[in-house]
Order: sequence, then C-alpha cells, then structure tokens
Amino acid sequence: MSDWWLGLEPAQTTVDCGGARHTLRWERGTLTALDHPDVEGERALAALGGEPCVCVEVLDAWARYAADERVLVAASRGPADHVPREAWGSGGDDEEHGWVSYGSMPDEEGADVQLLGLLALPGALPDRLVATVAAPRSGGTAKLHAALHGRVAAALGVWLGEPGAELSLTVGDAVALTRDGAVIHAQLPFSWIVSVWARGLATVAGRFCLAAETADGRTYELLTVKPDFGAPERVRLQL
Amino acid sequence: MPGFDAELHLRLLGERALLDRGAQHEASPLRAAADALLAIGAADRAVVDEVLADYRLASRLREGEAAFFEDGFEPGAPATEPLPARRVVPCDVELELAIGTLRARYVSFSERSTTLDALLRFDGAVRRRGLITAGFHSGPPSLTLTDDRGTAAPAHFSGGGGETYWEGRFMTLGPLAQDTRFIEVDGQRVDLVAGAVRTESWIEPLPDAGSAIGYLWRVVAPHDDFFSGVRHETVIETLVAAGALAPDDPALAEVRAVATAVQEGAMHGGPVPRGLPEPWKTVLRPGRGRGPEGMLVVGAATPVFDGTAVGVAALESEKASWRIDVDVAPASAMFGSAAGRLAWWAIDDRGGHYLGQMGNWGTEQDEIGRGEVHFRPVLDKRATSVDIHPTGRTQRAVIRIPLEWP
Repeated sequence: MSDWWLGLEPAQTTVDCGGARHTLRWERGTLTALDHPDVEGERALAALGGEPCVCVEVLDAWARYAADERVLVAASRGPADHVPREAWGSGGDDEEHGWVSYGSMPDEEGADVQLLGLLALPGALPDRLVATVAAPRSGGTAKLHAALHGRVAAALGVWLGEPGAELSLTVGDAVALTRDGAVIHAQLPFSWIVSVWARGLATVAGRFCLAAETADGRTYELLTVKPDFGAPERVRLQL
Repeated sequence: MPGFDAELHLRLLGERALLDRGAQHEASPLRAAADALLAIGAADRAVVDEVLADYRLASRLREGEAAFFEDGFEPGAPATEPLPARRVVPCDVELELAIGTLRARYVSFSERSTTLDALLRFDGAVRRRGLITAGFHSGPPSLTLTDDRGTAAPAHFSGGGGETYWEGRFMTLGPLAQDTRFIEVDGQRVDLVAGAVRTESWIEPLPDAGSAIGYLWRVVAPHDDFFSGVRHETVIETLVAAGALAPDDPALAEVRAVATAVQEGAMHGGPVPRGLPEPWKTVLRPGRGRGPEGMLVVGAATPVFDGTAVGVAALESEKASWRIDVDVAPASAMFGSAAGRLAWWAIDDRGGHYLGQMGNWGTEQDEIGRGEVHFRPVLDKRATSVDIHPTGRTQRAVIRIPLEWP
C-alpha cells in the first residue's frame, strides 16, 4: 500500500485556534498542524487542565476516523452529492471557518459530531479522509461495495447528464463499462475510489475513467470509455 | 432466497436515496425496505440497525437534524400480562357545572386511577371568563371526583375539542374505590347502577403471519387520518429481490390498486376504482346508509398477544361513524412501522368488514396508551355482534361485543 497518496494534491483548511487562524495541511498521506510543532506538548498542556487546542482536536479526530468505514458512507460522493461546508459549530456561514472545539461534548454525541465536522470541512480534506480510509481496503463487504457503487453512480450521472441512471456494479479486478438500455453495467475494483475518484479523474475530456496508473503523480495512463460505451481506450494525461 | 444479500440491498437503496435529493422529505425508502426484510425474517436486526444508523449519519451531514432518515421511534417494552381489570359503568347523565354542561358517558375504575369519559359543552361566556383556555396546551380545568367513602381526587382532562366543546377523559392520578355505588363530580352525584355488556375475548394466530403478501397488506392499510401512502413499490421491490414474492404474483396487482386508491385520497372522498378486492371494496366505498346510535360500555381486556395487551372500555356508534375507546400496552404499539404497530380491523356477524384508524391519543402513566380507534364504514344496523381485531405481527386478539343497544 505504499504511496497510495500519489497523485492526491495537498489540501488544507484553517481553524480558529486560541483566537488565531491556524492551518492544517494534508500532504502525502499525513495531516499536520502547521502552527503547532509540538503536538505532544499541546496534548500534555490540555491534560493538565489547559485550554484545549483546536488544531490538536482536529488531528486527534482525524486519527480516530482514519480507519472508520462510516467515513465512506457519510462523506460526499462527489459534485452531484452536495454536503454543506458551513462553519460547523460556530453557527456562522463563514466558509473559511472549519472547526471549533468540541472537547466538552459528551463522548458519543461529541464523537459523531466530530466525524460530521471533519466531513464538512471546506476544501478537499474530506475527500482526503475518504482516500485514507479506502486505501488499505480491497472491498469484499456490503458496506465497501455500496461505497464504491455510490461514487460510481454519482460520477456516471454527471458524465451522462442522467442523475438517476441505473447502475449494476460488480466489484472485481477486471474493469468494464457497458450499457444495456437503461442499465449501465460496470465492473471496477474497490481501489477505483483512490486511484481514480479521489484524484478527480472520474471523468476526463468527456470520457469515463476506469483505471489510472501513475509513477509520479504527474503523468497518467488512463483507461477510458467514451459516451458511446465503445471499447475502452488508453489516454495519456500529463499534469 | 439463496444469494440474496440483505445488507447490500439496503445499502444500495441508501445510496440511491442519498443521491435522490428531490425525495428527501418523503418517508424513507430505506426504512420501508428494512422493515419489510425484518418482517419476513430475511435480515438480521443488528445488521439492519447498523445500516440505518450509517445512512442516518450521512443524512444528518446533508440535511442537519431534520434528516429524512430520522424516524426516531423507540418501541416500548413488550407487555407481559393483560391490562389490569377495570370496572366500567355506563352513566349517560348530564350535569350542569360552572364550566358548562357535562354529559358523563361512563366511569372506568382500575387499581391505579379512575376515569370519567365525558363530553363538555360550554358557551362563549365561559371562555371569556377564562374558565376554558385556548391554545395548543389548553382544555377545561380539572374536576374533583369523589367516591362513596368520601375519597376525593382531582381529575385532569385529556382529549380534544372545538370552539364550544371538549370531548375526552377526566382521569385521577390515584384510585377511588372500585366498588363505589356512586361518584360525585364537583359535588354532583352520579349513581352507578348499570353494568357493562358481557364480552368474550381470545387470541388467534394470523394465517399469513410472516408472509410477504400479508406484510404488504399491512403496509398499505392506513393507520391514521393523516396517512398519505407508503413506498409500496420499494417494499414490493425488496420482497421480490429477497425471493419472498414472485414479480408476477397476481396479488400484487390488488395491492397496487388499493395502495394507489389510498394515495389518491379514497379514504377522504376521493375516487374508488372498481374491482378492488374485499375487504377494501367495502372499506373504501363511500357512504353506506346510517349506523345505529348509542354507546355500549364494554370493559374488556385481551390476553397478551405479540407483546401487546389491549383493553376496550366502550363502543360508540353514530349515524355516520363508530369508534371504540381503548387502552394499549405498550403505548408504542400504536405507532411505528407497519411491521411493528397494531392494525385494527373488525368483522360483524353479517360478514361486514371495517378498518380502524387511530384517533385522539395520549400516553398515560405506566406507558399505557389511551385513546380512540375510529372505524369505517358505518356500523351495520342489522348486525347483532361485532368482533374487534387488534392485529399484531403473528397474532390478533378478538373481542366479541354483542350489539345490544339500549
């Protein structure tokens, strides 16, 4: 699973931490609080009764949910599945406000609220969390099948201009995309979520992307299908 | 059906529902499908709960706390014994009180409380004096009920009403003597001499318990006056996918015809198509003459069936309608999905069928629900008895009431 993050651009958001605007940045698979070089020190201070550090709360929530498959169920499936990115917890509509402290909430209620807060963060961080959860998995369960199905269906709906297009999905190593009347038949691996969807490559130049390979995150070999559902064709993409 | 993955079926429905944002305020298709699979034993409860919780979370992220996946219904603990025996005595007297004219219909005594079922009429002058308040949390002031030992207790009102009347029950929080010879209502004496009609009650297994078609019929039956239809096609799709129904089962055409008629307002004067199966042809047919007029005090209690216990205090019939006053334990048995809540039917001794719907309802102490079940069509004047069928998942109770009108 090395370098699963290859091709996933850095993403960041800002939070109100201790009265200042601080930045959290995701890059190469890791979320970092840029304004807190000593995160363990911040945790120790909070444990001794100091004011909770919002940046550390976000980091801790991220670590908590990095393996939680509910992320795949709850997170946006893409542009066709709008999730409000409002200032969660602050009650405002400031799109730059991503996080306020939930440290005082009861555990279970606070936990769900923190997950929802992560997935409502502005920018691409929620998609990076999806990729983080999906990367080590290969499917095989109903939950993961549905997670892939929803993202493929959303992407197909946008690509074809048919939001309610009926999809029949088979999860497997081989890839295929055909149409039989009203039903679209797709066969894709679970890794499509990370290798194609998370990289924003579901539709490229009017084509639907079945697979994407890259060695450097800049040059891609894409296997694509045109809207006529003809045979898949290889396309080279240089970023 | 071999190969049917209930969890995957539900999750794919959830995916479809999340992307179908235009339907976000309709009843949840996921809930409808989940209930159907549980009803026919094709899904595990723990798995269903997890799927529903997952998509509830997803919906909260998109819609906030008004998420359409939220149903928030928690069933109460199942009943383990019949409801406490009640002495129910008809009154049928009118009393002039400071707040208006009270028609006392019957008094019901249990070891926990005493209830006076009454209709209170008042005029505008009473309202202006502030004796009858207006608004959502309003009603007549409490009455004082006193038994023949001199024990007195305030009785608080629950029920409904309009501009010049309230109709419901005045209930004490503590008991009065169950064998009292009379009751005083704010100092005015009401003798208790008459008795309730003699009834029989028993329980029966449902012949179609656990069957897919039986469940479908429960789904399409309107349970209250606000019922506007269900996702019956989602339920049918799910039952077919699970292998519990053949897609060309002839019964499906009948179910669809009834469901469509209900959704198009057949219960409220809308068109009733020809060719509906019984009992729906009778139940939905508009107007059928006039029913008998009168009240029968019943005082019946059923054995426990499907974790539910029912008591029927009275049956009242008017020209255009009839209803029963009931107690139900747990109170939650009147709510929730078609799979879990009671359905109400009745059959008279002439073979006439009636469908019951929940009317005014409240939850009293000890989680016992109390209220009215209204039946349609009107009661057949020629019937000499009627069997009330509160119906659970696998069993129904039968309460046979002789229609001996005073």
